[in-house]
Amino acid sequence: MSDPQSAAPPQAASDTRLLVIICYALFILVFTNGLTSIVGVVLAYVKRADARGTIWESHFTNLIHVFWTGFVFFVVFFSAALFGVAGLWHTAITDNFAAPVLVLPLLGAVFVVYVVWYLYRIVRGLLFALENKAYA
Amino acid sequence: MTDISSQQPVPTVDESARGTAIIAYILYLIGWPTCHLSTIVALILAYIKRGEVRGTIWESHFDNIINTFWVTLVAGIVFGILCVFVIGIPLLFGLAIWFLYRTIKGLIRAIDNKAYF
Repeated sequence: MSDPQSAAPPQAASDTRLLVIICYALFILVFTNGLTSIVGVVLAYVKRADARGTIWESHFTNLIHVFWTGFVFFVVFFSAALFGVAGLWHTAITDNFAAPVLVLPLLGAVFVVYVVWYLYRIVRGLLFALENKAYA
Repeated sequence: MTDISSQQPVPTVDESARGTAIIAYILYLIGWPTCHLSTIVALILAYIKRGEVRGTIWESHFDNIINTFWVTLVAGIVFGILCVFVIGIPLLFGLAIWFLYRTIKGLIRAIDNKAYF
């Protein structure tokens, strides 16, 4: 495993580095389209096996971790948002205040915190990758 | 000039910090069309890079980027509430100009390799 890598290290390493940077770029571009992080995580899964034992493995692990955390976050977020919208609808048609409405402003604050965390992981990883360092 | 750069292809801390500061200022300037996501990216960049450049002129730029963000955020919330009374509207307008002043001044001084004062 380590022998083929040491046979041709510079080429393989710079290719992997470029791929890691592209993956981070795809994770940032997700804000414009909502889809490119899926491309990025597929790339990360495919290439992580090739990068075992190198510093780039930590970057692919980071990308995969961020993706699945985001996936779980959005499932929970939209379930809770649906709950809040149902409360809003109930308030509107019955004229009685329904407590689930209070979920909505709370979700707004949680969303901001989540976006900051997401960008922190991605931007920090991108900086490490540009400096040829492992994600730590 | 070319000899020195070919002998030292790895960017020094100063060059890297200068590039980061300039990118952060540009990200501030494109904050409105990106729903302020780029502003958050610039803030994260500034917090990460500030630790590496303690004692250099670039620390002042990252301090400026961080302070500008927090002052604008807090003042923006206060002035937004004050919009209920009409006074908040001109105050928000002034805040936007102050934000642009700090950002553009910092960008120019970073390009000129000077500290932000």
